Amino acid sequence: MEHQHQDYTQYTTTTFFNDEQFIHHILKWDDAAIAYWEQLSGQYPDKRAAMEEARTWILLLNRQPAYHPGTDKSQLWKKIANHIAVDEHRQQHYYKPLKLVAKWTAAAAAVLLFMIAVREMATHGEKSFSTTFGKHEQVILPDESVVTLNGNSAIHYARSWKTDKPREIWLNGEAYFEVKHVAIKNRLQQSDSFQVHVSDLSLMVLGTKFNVRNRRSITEISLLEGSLRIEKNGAGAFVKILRPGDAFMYDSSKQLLTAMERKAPANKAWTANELDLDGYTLQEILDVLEDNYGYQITLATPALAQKRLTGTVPAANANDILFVIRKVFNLKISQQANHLTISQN
Amino acid sequence: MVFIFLLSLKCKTFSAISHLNQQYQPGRMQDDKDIWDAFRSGDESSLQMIFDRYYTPLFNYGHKFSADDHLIEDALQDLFVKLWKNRKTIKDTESVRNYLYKSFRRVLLRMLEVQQRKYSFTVLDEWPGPGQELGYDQTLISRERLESIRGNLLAALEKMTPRQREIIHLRYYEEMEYEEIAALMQLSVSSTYKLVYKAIDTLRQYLSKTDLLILLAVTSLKKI
Repeated sequence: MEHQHQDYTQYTTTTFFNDEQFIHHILKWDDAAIAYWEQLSGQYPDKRAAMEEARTWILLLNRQPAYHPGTDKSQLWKKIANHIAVDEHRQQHYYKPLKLVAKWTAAAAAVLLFMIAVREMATHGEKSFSTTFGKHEQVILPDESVVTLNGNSAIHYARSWKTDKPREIWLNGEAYFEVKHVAIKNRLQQSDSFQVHVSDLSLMVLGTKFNVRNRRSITEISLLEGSLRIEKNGAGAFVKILRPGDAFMYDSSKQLLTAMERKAPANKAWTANELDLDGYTLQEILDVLEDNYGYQITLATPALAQKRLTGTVPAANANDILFVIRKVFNLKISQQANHLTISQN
Repeated sequence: MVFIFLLSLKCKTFSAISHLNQQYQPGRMQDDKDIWDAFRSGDESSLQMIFDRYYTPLFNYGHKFSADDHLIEDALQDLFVKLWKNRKTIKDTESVRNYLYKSFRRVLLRMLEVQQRKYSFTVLDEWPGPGQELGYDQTLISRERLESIRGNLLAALEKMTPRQREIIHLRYYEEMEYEEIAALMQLSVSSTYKLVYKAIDTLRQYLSKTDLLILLAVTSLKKI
């Protein structure tokens, strides 16, 4: 051990007592260290007493006999071993099976959770309904509004309608809406509105009944109750507010909105399986047959196209309509699969 | 020359005694670790070996905190049962002794706290009987001088705080390094140094009053 030569003239008992090297030479045996302190003791005779005292202190502290208790060591170990045995027993018979059960339960729960999550994910997002030719379908929306879909029509909407967002629905084809009024009286919020996206228009309503027909770039909006606002964004933007009974027609190719000759109630006659022929030309009736029932129709006598008719005909199926027009206009209708050729008889 | 001869004589006696008193030896460190590893991998007999080895040192240490043997027994039992229960999560340790001391101290102090006993620490209550001497040549230092030196030390220790006494004990009896003491007592190394400094200062202040006595004692030293 290297000794740093200190000035020991100022050393007292306490400084020796606290000197690491001094402690070391007493507690850890090493000849060099002992020789060093012996030599020092000769060098500073006046420090011998202090050194002696410090040495005695260190030895007194260090050589304290270990305490021997009145209690028994082997008895204590027996107690400990006993505790350990009991603990081991518990581990084997309770905790381990319990842990196993917990492990399996956790695994089962994880699988279940995963399955639920997968299902949620799969069904999350949009919900859609569509009808084939000639079929009607009623869809009840999450807010209990009712949509009646005419044949060959489709709607889709976000599965979950958040209460702070407007209700939104996308339409292709024709549908009659009975929208539930959710707004608190005199307190209209954006979130209370119901929006129908059709063509490039947005129809904003509260609680209303209206029919929307979207065929061949023409969108017809017929309001029966309540109020409805037509919004067109982007190029040629406009806003039109409809009153009950109003029926408007929008041509998306011309971006033009015009009032319709036909009245609103007539436009929803289909929901009762009827066709209100007021204001329909024969061509329009044939369009309905194509759009809703999936026929391809060739009008061999173009002059017939603009002929008109009044009254309501049953329209539970296409044959009803065909029967009526054949009789009224005295037509010859030849059918090949879903292709109809119509000519004057 | 005579003095040197006596010192070398002392060396022999001390080395013989040190074997008797110290429960752990540096050479045992590796041994300790092997046993510790065996215990951690679930060998109960290794735990018993550790128990056998550290029963006396731990009991002795615990006795400094409390004279209640049963309480210390409870603490020991608690410690070893906990060691067994936690064997899978107990980490490898640099020093098994320090690990055990630290854990034991924590268990014991908590028990004392529950009993609402004050933290205390006694040093030098075990004084070797007439037959047991410090183990060095009595011709060098008289019985009376030894008694007076011991008296001084005892009185000075009295003046210290329990914490300071504990550090003195760990340093001179357990022969721990400052870092080890700091880890054991959950102090920073610098505050451990500070506590030792204060303890030494207590000693110094006490001794300045008895310097005259020491001078007298020096003159009465027997020299051959």
